[in-house]
Amino acid sequence: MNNRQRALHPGAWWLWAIGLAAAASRTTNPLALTLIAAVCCLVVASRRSDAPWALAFRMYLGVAVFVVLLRLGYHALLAGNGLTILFELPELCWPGSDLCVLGPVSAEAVLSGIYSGMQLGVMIVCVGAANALANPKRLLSATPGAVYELGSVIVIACAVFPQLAESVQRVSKARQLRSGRTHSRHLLREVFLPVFADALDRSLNLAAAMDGRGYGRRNTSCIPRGDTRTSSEIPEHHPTKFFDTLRGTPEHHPTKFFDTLRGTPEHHPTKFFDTLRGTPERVRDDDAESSAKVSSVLIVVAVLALCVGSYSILDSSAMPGGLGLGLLVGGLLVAGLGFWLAGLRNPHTRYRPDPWRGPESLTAICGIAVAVVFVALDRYGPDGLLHPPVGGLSWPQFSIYLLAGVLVAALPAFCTPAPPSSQEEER
Amino acid sequence: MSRVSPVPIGPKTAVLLALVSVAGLAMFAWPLFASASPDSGHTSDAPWIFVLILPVLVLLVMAQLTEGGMDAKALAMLGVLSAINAVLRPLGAGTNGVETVYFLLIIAGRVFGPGFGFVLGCTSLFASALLTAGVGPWLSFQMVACGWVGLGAGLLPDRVGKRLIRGWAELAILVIYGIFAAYLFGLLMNLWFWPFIATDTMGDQSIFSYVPGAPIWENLRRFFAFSLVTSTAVWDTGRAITTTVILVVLGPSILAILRRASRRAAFDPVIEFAQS
Repeated sequence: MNNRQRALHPGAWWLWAIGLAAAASRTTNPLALTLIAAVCCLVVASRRSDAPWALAFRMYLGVAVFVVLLRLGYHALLAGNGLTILFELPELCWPGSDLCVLGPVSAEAVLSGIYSGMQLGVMIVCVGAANALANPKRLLSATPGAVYELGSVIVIACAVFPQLAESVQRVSKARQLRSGRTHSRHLLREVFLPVFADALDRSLNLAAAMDGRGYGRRNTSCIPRGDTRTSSEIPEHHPTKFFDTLRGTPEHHPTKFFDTLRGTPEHHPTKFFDTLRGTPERVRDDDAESSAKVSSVLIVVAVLALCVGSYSILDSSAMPGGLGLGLLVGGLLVAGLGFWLAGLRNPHTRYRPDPWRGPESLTAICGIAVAVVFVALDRYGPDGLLHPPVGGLSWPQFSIYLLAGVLVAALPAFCTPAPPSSQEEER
Repeated sequence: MSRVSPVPIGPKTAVLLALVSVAGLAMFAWPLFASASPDSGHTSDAPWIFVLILPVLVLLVMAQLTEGGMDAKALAMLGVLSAINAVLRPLGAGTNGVETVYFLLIIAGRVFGPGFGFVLGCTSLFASALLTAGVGPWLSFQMVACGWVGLGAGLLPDRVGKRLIRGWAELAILVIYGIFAAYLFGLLMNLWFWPFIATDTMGDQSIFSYVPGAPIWENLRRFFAFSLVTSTAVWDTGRAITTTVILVVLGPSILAILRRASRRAAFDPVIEFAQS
């Protein structure tokens, strides 16, 4: 086992959590659901860092409790219809119709509300656990090449987010310093609009800087197809040359920031973008264009397969059972292939990719194993184990397989490297 | 000046977008027309399978939408607008249906076109979920629904005959669309939520429950009763009023600011130099 503290690959945590959520979706047994939630809490408590996203786990727990209460309230108050009446509430009916609320509250309704509410609540806890454990920034940096643009948009959004707060403070300070009317009635117009305009202006500066550094450029449409000239051979008035002229801009121009990177050592990762300037860009040659065509065809085929597969799940009479599921799986495979092909057109390297080692595989396998156990129990296990009846008001069943199956998911709490503390994470 | 879109939609992309929209709509509205034969084991899994498949469809559409080559200006604009939406969203949440996201989505879709509107709807919700910890099974459904709000705003008519629609007429169109979108968004999200919260599991006779396999009109009636009682009257009306008020107060200025930014960014097709 690796003794060094390091954060696990975020994908591993997500696979683990999806496995647990899939297991929760197979059962309404409150004992099994409680166990799954407890395992989530245990792993989160032992393997989360002290980053802000990790602290939001409490919020997910709150949402889960809220969902259980909502479902309980719905069943008890609006849909109560069972044999064992707990207490009676005055019934309210819409005049002249059968639209009635409240009335008798039955124990069966309460139980059924709790069972099904817990199912949804525990799935939310699983997602919350993934959120708390996986670093969203590292997840973004693992964005596949096909949606590279999408990843950059989200990265920009997350980076601009704190700047907006600063912008709001600056604008309101200016507003207070200004003489004349400062009525709260104009607050929206006097604060929001300047901040908004300021943000858009900044976005154009950011775009110029990004363009100059090669971010967000997929195919260099400025350079004609088949053009293999290097930067120095491109004529003086070629549009790409524009960014070279930025070098001569005044000292405080925003794009200047990136020039400071020039002073970095030769093997600094940001240097990669410098090399883009000098390379002959052959991205847009015929090979790439035909692969683009193939990838779009694959994407359309995948979408069609997924649509038809989903339809067959809803209407099982339309297609024999296995075919629909096969279409879904096949659609996902084709989608993956199209995605991979579309990503090939994207000549961007990854900055310090997260490694995928033994603990990552173990974590992912633990999560998926729980899902497999539950699916198997659902199919071959005793009746009423995963879906206890609410009718008889009996204690739900439990089995050793269920216990073992869920406890497997707790392994990552002990068998993975501990997360680094926040000081070390700043990298 | 004709409208130039930073996220162009070619014929192939349009077909794909339409396909995914139909599939997405089916994933929202499946309770209404699903057949429920007790022997088909998959009907009860349907919502969970959709929760897994819709994100894949969204990713595929995004890969295709960005295929046309978005430049850095479009990326930066999308990023900044998403960040603003992510700031605005928690401002309204929790205060009884005051929703502050739609107006910017609608105006941006109007100015930058349907493709941009769709992408902005998706990225706004995703960024907001990442920043304020709102990732959950509901996320991809919210993303698609918000994408549609932006897409629809981009598809609103730009001119009558030869005259551009600007000024009060434009604002009126946007406000009407905003009210329509606010209610429709609420209904869609309710429809997604409905089978989770109110499935008829034990043969109860409640008027609000989803009954698997019941005729479409029966379930539709039940759904509207559920929706009216739980949210349409308060949340959706609050959302419609907020969107209208903000559109009327800030709409003209924001339209002007965005159009100015669009002119400055010059999203026109890049000039290609032929080799001589």
